[in-house]
Amino acid sequence: MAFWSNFFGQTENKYELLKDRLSFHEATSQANLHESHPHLQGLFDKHQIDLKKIRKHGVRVAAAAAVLGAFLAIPYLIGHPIVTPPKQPSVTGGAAGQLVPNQPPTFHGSAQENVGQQAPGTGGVSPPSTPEQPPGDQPKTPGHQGHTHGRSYLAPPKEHGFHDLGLHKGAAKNPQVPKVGPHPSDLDVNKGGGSS
Amino acid sequence: MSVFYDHLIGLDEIHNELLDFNLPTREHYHLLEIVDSTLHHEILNIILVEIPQEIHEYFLVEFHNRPDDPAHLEFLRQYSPKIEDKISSTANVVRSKILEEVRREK
Repeated sequence: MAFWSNFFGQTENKYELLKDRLSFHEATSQANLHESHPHLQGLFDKHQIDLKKIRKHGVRVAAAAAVLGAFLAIPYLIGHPIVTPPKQPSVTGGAAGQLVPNQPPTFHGSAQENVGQQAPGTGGVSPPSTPEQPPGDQPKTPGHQGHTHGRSYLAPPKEHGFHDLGLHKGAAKNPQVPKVGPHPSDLDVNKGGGSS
Repeated sequence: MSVFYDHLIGLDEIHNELLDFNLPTREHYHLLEIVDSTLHHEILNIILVEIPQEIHEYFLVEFHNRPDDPAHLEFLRQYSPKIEDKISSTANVVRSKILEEVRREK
């Protein structure tokens, strides 16, 4: 409704009326000021003071401060977009964990929360597999809350080819897991032993 | 805060009354600027009445240079301890007069 009334200019009369009435009050107050203090005009001319400009200058300073504050806040907001809110539940979980020595809920919760925070290429190996790890692979130190800097300590190190086989050192020591065979380059087939 | 006495006056009531007219934003704020200017003149008038004439020039120059400095209020308090009450009451009188004008046009 307001759109159509503005579109057809029905409020224009109201605006003009209000403007005239309010401008009258403004002119009256200005006249009162100069009437009460006739020396003001000389002071205004001497120092080039314009009362309206004083007001606008003040508004400009406030606006500039607001814009500057917003610009200064941008780096902080970029650097801390998600980290701050998820930390709050982990803190409460840690407090609750002090009562119970073993704190798997807190651990799993923190590991899952960190999945979304990892930068690409900084250890995308471990987080999806951490809930599937056997309980024997969990850390022995109760104070650990899981990884906080991208790569979990549960993630197998990329050495000995274990990782490429989907294994890690714990699995290799397990007698139920078959040992890894000789390297293909050590096979007789490649040495020409089977040619006779 | 754009002027050191901004916390003593309030345009919220007039702003809310003007909202009922559904004016375009530019016109709405132009009317608020006129109201603000009216208050500005009236309050400067009462301030200059309260301080000696010899200080008018000093105060105007300082006010011109740093309009939002709260130290102006402390300076004025030395000459008129109840200057804040006087500014508030002047603002109330002007505001009620303007509100009456605005409501008449509804």
